[in-house]
Amino acid sequence: MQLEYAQVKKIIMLDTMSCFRRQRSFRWLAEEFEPLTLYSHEDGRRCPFFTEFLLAPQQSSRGRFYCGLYAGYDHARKEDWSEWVDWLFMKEQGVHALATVADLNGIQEIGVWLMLPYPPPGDYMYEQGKRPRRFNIQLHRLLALHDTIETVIERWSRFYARTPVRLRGFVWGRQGIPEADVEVVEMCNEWIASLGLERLWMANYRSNRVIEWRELHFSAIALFANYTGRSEYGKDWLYNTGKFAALNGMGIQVVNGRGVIYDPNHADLYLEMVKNISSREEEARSFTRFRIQRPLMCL
Amino acid sequence: MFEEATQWFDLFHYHYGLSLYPKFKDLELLKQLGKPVVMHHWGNDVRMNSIARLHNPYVYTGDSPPEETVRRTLTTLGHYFSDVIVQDYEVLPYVEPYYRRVHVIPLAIELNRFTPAYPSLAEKNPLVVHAPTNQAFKGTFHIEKAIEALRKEMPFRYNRIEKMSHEEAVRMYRQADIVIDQILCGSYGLLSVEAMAFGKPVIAYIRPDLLPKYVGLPISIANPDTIYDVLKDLLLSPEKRLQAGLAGRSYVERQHESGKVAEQILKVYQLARTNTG
Repeated sequence: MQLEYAQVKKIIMLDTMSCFRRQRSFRWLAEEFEPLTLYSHEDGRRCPFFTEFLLAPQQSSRGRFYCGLYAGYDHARKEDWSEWVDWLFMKEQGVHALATVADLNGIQEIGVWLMLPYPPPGDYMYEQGKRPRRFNIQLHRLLALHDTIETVIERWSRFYARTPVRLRGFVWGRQGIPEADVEVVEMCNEWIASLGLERLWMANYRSNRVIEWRELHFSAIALFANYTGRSEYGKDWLYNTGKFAALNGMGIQVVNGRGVIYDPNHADLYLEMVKNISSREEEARSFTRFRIQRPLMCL
Repeated sequence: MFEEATQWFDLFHYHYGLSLYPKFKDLELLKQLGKPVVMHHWGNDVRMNSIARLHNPYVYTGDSPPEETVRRTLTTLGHYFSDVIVQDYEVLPYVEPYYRRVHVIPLAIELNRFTPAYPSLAEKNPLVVHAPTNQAFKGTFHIEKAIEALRKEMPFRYNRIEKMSHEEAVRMYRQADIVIDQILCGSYGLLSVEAMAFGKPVIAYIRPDLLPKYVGLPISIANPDTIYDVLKDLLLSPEKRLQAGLAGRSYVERQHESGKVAEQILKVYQLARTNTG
């Protein structure tokens, strides 16, 4: 059976917390979520828009980075990881605001995917004190992830069990998977799978090990093509990413950006690719990661 | 045994990015002895996802070592080898930055072992052969999907070559009317060469950007998106099968005949010796 475009699972990806690139903080209040969850027709009718949200933490209040890309500058430590967990359960913003919007508008269910803070391999301190933990020890990296995920799940069941928001799963915090991450990724994903949750990898088309995503125990992957229309990456990148994703049951990241490197037609090309893939490939799934100024994406 | 070999042999030709001792210590010994060395890379030992995917959305790199390992190994090997051989232009870019000279020398085949058996124009029930030695790499899933679809449309036989010796497999290729090699990698392999030597029409995927490097290559080009159409076309046309078979044999005689290939390798040996001396 072929997938119709409407059947493609679309996830919008949102930066959360602080972000130095945009020089602002993303709290995500209900009024910000509303236009993303509900679409208004010209005749005034409103219908559900995005029903899956990926929340990606950028920086803590201390300015430390959660994502793999910038972790080498100043990585998040235990107090920052805790700050992220607390952020997820703050009232009137983030997940709570999303639940409120869903409740008020009769949306029965909204899926939430959480990007995990990335524990960079190497001599990075995570926790000081009597039992210090450092990320040059694989076990300590795993324990940091394990403890944090466990806390999130436990608090989620207390805070959001009776709301329309559902925790779909966790997203690995780095685009590529170097050798030092393989063991941690496999074990972390296996454990998340045992909890009945999804494991998503937001990879680059050329990321190391993309072809092995299933062996790494991811349940889904969405590729980034690097195409923006006005950079060194031509349309071939977009088409090749689409073909590769379709052949291997992967999703794709759809970019919708503004700025000098973005051609006005780039978003149309991405959407056309998603439609092509979803209509010709039985097993291809599609995410849509939307970022307000930068990306968006699809599986 | 290796120490003994160093007394008897003047040049050492290594394969697949491997050497005899851990940490390439044998290479260090040969360097000290001033013995010339040549490395032969074959593809899966050096194929890196980040480079392979530049021009090819179909390629499978899952059976190559991790990219960091490949880069580390090549960096080390670059200290010992000045002259390196690869089998085609698909493999070239993975190793090129690491060595002084990389020579593209085609696969070699002893043609006297391959008596042509061209496809019969009268064959109404052609035999299609595919050898899924590495299914993910060769694209067997996509090939067999196309075969299943075509079975509903026309008569033909399909033989999957597996669990048999190389000699038995070669006998099977000899009976084939169409041979399907690898449709993901972007270049052709030994199966294509052997099948062409038998005068068989071959289907494989050649990357469009590499095509100019293969002047006169008579392989029918197919990828997962086109395999159904390409196979169908050959199944429906005994004339095309015969034409491709004749052209294939001629191509192999020109490009892959072992004597001609050996001459090219000898030149590399000479360069390596000059370099060491």
